Amino acid sequence: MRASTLKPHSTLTRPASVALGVSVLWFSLLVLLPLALVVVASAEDGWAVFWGTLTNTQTANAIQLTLTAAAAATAVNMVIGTLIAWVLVRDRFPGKRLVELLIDIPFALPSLVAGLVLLSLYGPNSPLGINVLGTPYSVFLAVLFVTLPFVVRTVEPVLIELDTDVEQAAESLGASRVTTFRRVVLPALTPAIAAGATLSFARGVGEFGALTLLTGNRPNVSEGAPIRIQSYLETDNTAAAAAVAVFLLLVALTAIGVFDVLSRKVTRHAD
Amino acid sequence: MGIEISGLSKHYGDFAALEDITLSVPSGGLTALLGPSGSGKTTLLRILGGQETPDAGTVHIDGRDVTRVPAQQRNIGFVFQHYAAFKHMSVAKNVAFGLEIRKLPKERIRQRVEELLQLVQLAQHGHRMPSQLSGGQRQRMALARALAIDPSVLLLDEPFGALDAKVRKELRDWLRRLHDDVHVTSVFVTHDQEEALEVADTIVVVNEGRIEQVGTPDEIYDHPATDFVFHFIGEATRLGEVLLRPHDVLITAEGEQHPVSTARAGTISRWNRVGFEIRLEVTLDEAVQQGPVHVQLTRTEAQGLGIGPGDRVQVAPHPSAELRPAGSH
Repeated sequence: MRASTLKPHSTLTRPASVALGVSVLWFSLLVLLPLALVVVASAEDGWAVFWGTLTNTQTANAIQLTLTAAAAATAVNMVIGTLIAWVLVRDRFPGKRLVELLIDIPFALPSLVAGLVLLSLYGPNSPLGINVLGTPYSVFLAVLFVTLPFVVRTVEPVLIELDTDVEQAAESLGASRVTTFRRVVLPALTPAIAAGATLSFARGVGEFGALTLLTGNRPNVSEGAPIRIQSYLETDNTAAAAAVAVFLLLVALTAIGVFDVLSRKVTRHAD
Repeated sequence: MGIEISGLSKHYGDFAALEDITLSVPSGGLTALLGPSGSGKTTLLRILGGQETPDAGTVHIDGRDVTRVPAQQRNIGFVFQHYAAFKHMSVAKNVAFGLEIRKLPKERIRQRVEELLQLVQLAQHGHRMPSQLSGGQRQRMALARALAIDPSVLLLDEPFGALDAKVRKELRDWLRRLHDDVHVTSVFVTHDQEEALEVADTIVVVNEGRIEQVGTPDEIYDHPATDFVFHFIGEATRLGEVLLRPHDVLITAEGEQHPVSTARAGTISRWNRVGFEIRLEVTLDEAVQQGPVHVQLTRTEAQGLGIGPGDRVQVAPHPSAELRPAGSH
């Protein structure tokens, strides 16, 4: 009965073959080939240049800052995003539809504009007296802003589908609300949170637009890796730019892999 | 002891889900809350379970006022229509959940889970995941999970509603036998009168937020207290001035001696065979009622009477039939 017990075999009909062909071609032209070319470019001047680029102090600092900021923002998103999704799905309050729409603003806004918006509240003329310009926190803030919707949007549909019966069953068995959330709700949400976190992290590593305005790009302090790539390109150092790009790509792929394994582990046998 | 419900009311906006319900559920019995959808039976069950709070009235379980006690502290087993399985836990872990919450020693939990899985005939399936079980098995798992905490009361919300007809029948018999062994005070909600008649010791018929009748299955079927119960608990048909059950209509072929002298003449206008049963409609010659008379017979009875589609017949209520005046309908 179960698919996993059957031997894998091709289910391709003629129209399905055509569809697969189109998909692969499309994916190749847009993603695989350009990526392959970047990898080739990074190796063009040899391993020494590749390694030399990554160990350059300024570059290494930029990469470290970007990865730290993306990881920190992702960690925050996993908690806050789940909380926002919970509020939007489970609670009824005036203005809910509006919040629902506003959540997507970081998606809809060109990230350069996002930088401008953040600068007005957290820049030198901040009405709150908080100025992040030129500090490492600016990178964190920029990434936090542009990645906000990911976890919310991946967790929401799962939460809508999640039967409240299951929580009530746990409570009737004596579980407190906290225990119910930890032992019953969270495992069900884990794959969605992991998916959102993956997207959030990948987007955070690649964020450029918001950084250009908000961070001030001070070398070794508030300069992110994508900005570093840009300055390599401006000086016609394609191989170095490609080396940083390939490294970020590898980290992003690793993150995707890790989150995938994690969520599979939790949901091994669940529906 | 048992469950004492007094003056219970629950409103959702303008809609009165329950109105002034007073009911006493004896300890150790298997009680059915029977009613159409929207009658308030599920609301009543959920108030007992602590999933809903009443607007007014009190609930006592084994002498303790639990009206404002949260579900976590009621020690009530609740079985949901759609199983409410913890999908990421094995069957054994599902059953162990309530015991783990109570921080029992590991060895005790293991023993108790084994016993319960034996009881619900899932001993071989403890290591499986709920998704690998059939619907009937999942519901048995849910039952074991609810029984694990030694509940003072077991509540079941349409427990067989999501199952197909054959499994439903099996599980019904099985629940009846289980209850004879375990004796925990049980209340189940159903809209299926056959289910209630077959399984329950006591039936509470609920309609529009009120209790219509409380009684044994025999009392409810043979002596319905209200027109609603009469119509809801079985089929009904009109014959002249009275309402009665379709199987209480005596029918003979025209020309035969009818045992009731006031029998009316008519023609079989519809003949419908459903398995062993024949449902037919007799259109009367006299215009004493709008629709036809519905009659239920077994196939053997119909063959013995020598009647068939289109035949001329005579019909009258069986002398021992429960009759109700048809005026109000």
